[in-house]
Amino acid sequence: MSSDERAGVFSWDAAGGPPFGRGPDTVPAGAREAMKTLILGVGSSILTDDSVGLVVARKIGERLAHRDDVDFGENEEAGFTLLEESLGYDRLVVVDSILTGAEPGTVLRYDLSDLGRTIHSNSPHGMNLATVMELGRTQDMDVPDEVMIYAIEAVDVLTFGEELTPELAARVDAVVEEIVAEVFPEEAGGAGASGAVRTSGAEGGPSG
Amino acid sequence: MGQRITIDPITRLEGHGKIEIFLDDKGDVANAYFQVPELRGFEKFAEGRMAEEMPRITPKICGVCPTTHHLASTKALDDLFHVDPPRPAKLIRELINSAFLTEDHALHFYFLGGPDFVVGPDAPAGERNILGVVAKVGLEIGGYVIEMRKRIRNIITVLGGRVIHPVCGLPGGVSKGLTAEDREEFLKTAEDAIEFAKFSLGIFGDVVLKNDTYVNLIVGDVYKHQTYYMGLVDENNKVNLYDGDVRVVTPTGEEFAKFKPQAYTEHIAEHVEPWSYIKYPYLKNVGWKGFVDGPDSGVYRVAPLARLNASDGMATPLAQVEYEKMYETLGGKPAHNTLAYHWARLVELLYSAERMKELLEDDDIMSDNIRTIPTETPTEGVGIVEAPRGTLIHHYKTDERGVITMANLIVATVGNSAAICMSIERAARGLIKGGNVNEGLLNMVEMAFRAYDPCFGCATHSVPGEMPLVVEVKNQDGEVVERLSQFVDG
Repeated sequence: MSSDERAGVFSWDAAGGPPFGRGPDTVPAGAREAMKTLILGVGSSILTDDSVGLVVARKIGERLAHRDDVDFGENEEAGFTLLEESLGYDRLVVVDSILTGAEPGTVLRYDLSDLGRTIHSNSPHGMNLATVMELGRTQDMDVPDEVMIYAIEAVDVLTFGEELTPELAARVDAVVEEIVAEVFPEEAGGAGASGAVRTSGAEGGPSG
Repeated sequence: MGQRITIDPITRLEGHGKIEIFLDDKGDVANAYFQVPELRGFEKFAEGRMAEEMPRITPKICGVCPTTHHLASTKALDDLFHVDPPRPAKLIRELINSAFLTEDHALHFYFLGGPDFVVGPDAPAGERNILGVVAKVGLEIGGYVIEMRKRIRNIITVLGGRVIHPVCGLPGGVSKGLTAEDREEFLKTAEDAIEFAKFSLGIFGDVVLKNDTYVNLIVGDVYKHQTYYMGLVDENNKVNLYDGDVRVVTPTGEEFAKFKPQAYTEHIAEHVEPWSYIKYPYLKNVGWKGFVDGPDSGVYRVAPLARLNASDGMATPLAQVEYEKMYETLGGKPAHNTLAYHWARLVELLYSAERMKELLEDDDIMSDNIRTIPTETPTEGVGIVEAPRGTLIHHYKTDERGVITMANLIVATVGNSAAICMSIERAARGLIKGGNVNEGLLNMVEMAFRAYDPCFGCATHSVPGEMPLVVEVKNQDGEVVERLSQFVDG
């Protein structure tokens, strides 16, 4: 699936209907007994490694194309839209970039309680995920019961560019498998990858 | 100050929103700097691309104000291809910009700046957010804001093609007109947005203006800087957020310059400091005198209060009433009180909502004449719009095929970067004496820069998704003596 098609999942419904993930390629409302998961890549597609969340979410989408209980999307805006996009899903999996100084491609796992400390944020649009989800709850909105955040260690998120740095690009397939193995254990290993690699010092992994 | 400061690039890159305060040998403030990462390589990234690509790519620079990037870029293409769009196309573009300004200003008041006032500047940091606003003003306010935002964004979605990164702007016009059904719905939205803006000004009046402590904070000398002000104005010198001439007024309110977008390089220069990647725009014809205010310093400010200061009024009736009320309370124009940016933002919120209605009531907006096809050879173009955070400038040059050979942007927030440093230094000087750092410092610094609504959205996608504010206080040897973090439990 091309990135354009994938991005189209997140086109707003002009009629003001339920946003996101209710497009023609998703499960009909009547078939929602199964837990619905939204995999959401976050970042800018033109800031080198800042796009890694988008790239990984897209690849997870390709990897799990056969699943009709999982939707995929990309968000280059963040902030408040994260709430709007996740409404109606039981589970939200956010894939983003991070800079901690670890090895490129290291996957760090957070949940909302980890982000709670930034709930009062000074950022320009200081509405982080924890804040907006809590707002959604106070408004009785249909927010996901579970939010998982995967942050992938990046190298360069400040230079304009549409390609990942080679160090990070080499780790993408392993990162995809790592996240799939944790979120969808029943799918683990399906793409012939060597399995989850979570230690920051780990080397290697599928190249390319 | 006899102190050598060395900040290597790595340190700088870690400095997302980092503030560094340097003390002298007495432990008093020598200097204060606000640092943000500067994105690199835009010009190289743009070079070699077809100019028509720019309105689709540049919105991706920023996850916060993509709409205004799209429009500034589109206007630069009009200029580049020497084509004047038909009036209906201009109305549609301005409608999109007005919808965006309305939505963004509302968001700032309820989610970002408002908490400082509505919840209270002395409230615990963990309560000063939208949840605190909801707790104080009422649960229903959350739903009201969310619903209004959704309906306003629908205007951008329908006309722009996509809400996040609009694709409607073309050199010479727009790709899509307005249907009668959409017009009817949008008119209702605009009318409700006007009520929403009035409601928001009502909250500001009740919670802020009836509280002497808050009023004193706004009109007091804290963060008061007597700078020049810049903003787009129409032919009557009224605020216009989409088009017009750039007007600059002096710290005493006289017109200092009024120029067409193409002339911006004759008026604006950028100062570079060795300790920061960010550039500090200043008025070329006054000159850079450092991070100081007054008529001899070329530091100018942009964004809501600056736009109101640089104008002779608002072009819509209700906003004009609020404009007059604001200046009456603040003691005349121009107002130099940085915290009054919050108030000016609400005046603009009302203006944008009223303007949406005006544009939709103009029958020209239904015309099919929405594009003039460019026929000239492209050369060079400048496009300026007012973004929520200030005057946004796109400037491109191309070869005769329309391939970009030069691209320069002056983004809105950067226009206030020198003033943000000045406000922070002012707060630091008041709260650090003899090496003792008052614990209120962080709050005061926060309020200073939140008033400007600085946007570094382009650099803040990474988890935890937000820019942690970190204040480091260093002694004269450059050693960190105090480190304050905005994290609640940090």
